[in-house]
Amino acid sequence: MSKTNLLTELEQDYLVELFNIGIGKAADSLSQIVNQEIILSVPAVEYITIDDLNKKMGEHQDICSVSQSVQGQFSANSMLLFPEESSLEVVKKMLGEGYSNETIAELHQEGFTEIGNIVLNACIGSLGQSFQEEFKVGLPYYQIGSTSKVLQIPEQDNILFIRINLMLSESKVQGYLVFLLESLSFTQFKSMLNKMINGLLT
Amino acid sequence: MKEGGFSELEIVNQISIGLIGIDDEKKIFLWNLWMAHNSALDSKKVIGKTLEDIYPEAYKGRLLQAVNLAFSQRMPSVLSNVFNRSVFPLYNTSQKLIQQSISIFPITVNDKACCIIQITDVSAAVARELALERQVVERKKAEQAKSEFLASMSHEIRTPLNGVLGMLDVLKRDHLPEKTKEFVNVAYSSANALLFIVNDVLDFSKIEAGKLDIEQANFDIIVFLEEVVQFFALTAQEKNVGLNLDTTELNIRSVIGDPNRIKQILMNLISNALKFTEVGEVTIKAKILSINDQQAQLVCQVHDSGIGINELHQAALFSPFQQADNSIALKYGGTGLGLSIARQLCHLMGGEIEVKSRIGEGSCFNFDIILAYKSEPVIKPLLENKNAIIIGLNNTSSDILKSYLKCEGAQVFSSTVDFDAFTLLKTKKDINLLFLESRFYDKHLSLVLQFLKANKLKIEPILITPSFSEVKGVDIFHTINQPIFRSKVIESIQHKLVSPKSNKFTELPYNDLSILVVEDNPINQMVIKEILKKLGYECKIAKDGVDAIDILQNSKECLFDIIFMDCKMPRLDGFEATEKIRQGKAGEAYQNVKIVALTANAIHTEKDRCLECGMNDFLTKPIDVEKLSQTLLEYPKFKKS
Repeated sequence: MSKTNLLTELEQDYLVELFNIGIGKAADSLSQIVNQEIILSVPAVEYITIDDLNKKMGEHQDICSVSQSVQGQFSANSMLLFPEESSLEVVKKMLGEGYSNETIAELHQEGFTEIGNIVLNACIGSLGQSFQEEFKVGLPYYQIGSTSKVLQIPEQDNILFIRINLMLSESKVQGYLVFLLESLSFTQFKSMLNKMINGLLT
Repeated sequence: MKEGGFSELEIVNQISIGLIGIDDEKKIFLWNLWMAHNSALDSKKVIGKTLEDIYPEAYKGRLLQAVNLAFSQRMPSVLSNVFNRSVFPLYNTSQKLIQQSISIFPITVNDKACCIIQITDVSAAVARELALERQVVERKKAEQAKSEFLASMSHEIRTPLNGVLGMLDVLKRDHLPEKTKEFVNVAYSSANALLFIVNDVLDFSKIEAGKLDIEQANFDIIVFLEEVVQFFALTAQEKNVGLNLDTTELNIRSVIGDPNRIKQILMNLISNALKFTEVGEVTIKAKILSINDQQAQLVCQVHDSGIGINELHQAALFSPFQQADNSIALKYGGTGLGLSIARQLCHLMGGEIEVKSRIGEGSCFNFDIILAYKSEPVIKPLLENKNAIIIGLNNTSSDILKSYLKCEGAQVFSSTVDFDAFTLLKTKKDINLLFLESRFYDKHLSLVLQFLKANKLKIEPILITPSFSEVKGVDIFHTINQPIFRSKVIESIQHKLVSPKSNKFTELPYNDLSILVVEDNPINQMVIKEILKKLGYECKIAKDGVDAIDILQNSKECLFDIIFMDCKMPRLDGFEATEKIRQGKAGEAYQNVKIVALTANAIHTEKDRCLECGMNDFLTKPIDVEKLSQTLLEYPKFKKS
């Protein structure tokens, strides 16, 4: 399988726009929870192979993930991935002063699941609105461990890879949002995407 | 609805989580028994109303958003207890607010879009977290108290130790009967050992309290390592254990880092290695690997052929107050803090320390740290197309010398066996350099002379001698002491032999420097007075800052040249006194007088503070006689500038 990006530049641009709108809403919700400004942005979207994803994640020892299944005209598993330290940092910053690292570690699973849920919902929601489709979305599911443990993906599958920047209290943390699409679903996804783009162009 | 005797509603009522069902008109259609119990609201009163009617306070923010999301986009949400403390006012049977974790998800009932709010009681988990947090806070407080206690205790111990060490040092230099001298030496080295332990404890508590700073100073790493290793040369020689330093792979010399802290790690490892090695040798090998054009990794290895450490004890080795075996303290002494400090220092300098060892085969300690460096010009090798012979020496030192020479471009022949040596000397012509172990030279003097004659004395024989010995022929030949140091080898090659610096304390002729010592502690007053007397100086004592300024103001006839200033004093401390002197409050004549701080507080920030307030130099207590003498000798230089 070619390791080049299977999305055209136009498709990529469209998705970046789309996810940025959704993620903006997520940032509002998160800011509301913690009473401080949180900025989320999506700088890039790529469709890459699992090998490339492993390379990108390989530098991190353990990663934290929150995943939600998405069923509709295409089916996918959506996942928010953060390196473990970064996810701890996010929860710590969101909780504010007065918590020891030990307690943060205890609270991390619950807190990070909610953050993941908000971000994933926002992105799935944007896709749904854009495609005018109602997906069946599963409850969030938290995992922590090595990349290979967290990302159990059939080998041939490619991945819609979305980079996310999260900024709060002067620190910038980078995470990743991933849609695991089966190849059939990707064809479907791409055709829906093009329908949207063509609709916009005409 | 009935199936196997259970209705679905019964199941819903039996489970111990709260369930609220909301229909497409936002009205409550399900309120299970758990909810009824904990809300004190019967389902009959609630069903048909909206959530907003019942809980107007709760039904906003995240909850409202989540319910709307479930209806509008059919998406599930979770509201963690972490970010949403007690959304609903629910109380358990003992009237305690229930801590809640909430999930909201869409369902379809009779083709109508509805949603379910599920509430889980996480009070037990929250109580556990709170207890954990309390424990952590208490533990931290206890740790802090311990560190502070250790720090202040060690500081308090250092001050009287200063008195003991100083007086013994003075005594040692007196003309004493042989036996008394021996006793004084034992007392001195015991007090010194105690000082090392106190310093360890002080460092350890500083690291624990996060108060240890890492300096950034420029230094030559090869010269630095040679100085550290030289420090152990006598101990090694006395124990008859070989000591080697291999710096072949140090291709970067000028580095920036904290030499004192690196020295601390190295001293610890080398002294351990020597302590636990009875036969064989201890080898220190260093290399430096550049990470980018500014940073490099220094990797040091201290390898010994000592008793070794079993695997079980290796794991505990770097924990504080741990020695490989508790019986070790009895036989070899030490606090067991050294390696723990070494590891912490490595961490502070961006590295790690580890050990590989086998019982009976010796141990190898490896540590690495990050240093900054500036790239240097490449120097042309000194010995291109030259030949050198090494005769004698054990394998390790011969190999090290060989690699130094090869680095300079020479071709090297070596032999350890006498017979080989003869052949080598007889057959090899065209030799430029000859390194001879002094033992071989002593034994086969005639052969060497014959060889030199045959070569018409064109070559430069260099004698390699033990660190501390009286060797014949020293006047004739260049000598290099063992351990063989790279810089000494290069010096010898360049014919720039400098007479070895005498480590002996030399009494100086009477000097007419006029000295004022400002010190409040009577013992310390006596110590410094005696030391200065030994060095051939007289001094006047002021008991604090106020007294000092008084004395200076009334010293019209004889001006003081130099002031030694204690920092911590009653009435007027050293910093303030210095500032006053610099402002001219002790008279114009003293505005630029040389002021040297004398302090028991050896930390880096203290030094900065001294220099900031106008002092010229900084000496730590216990007073190092050599350093004090050096400071006084440098006075004329100060005066000129």
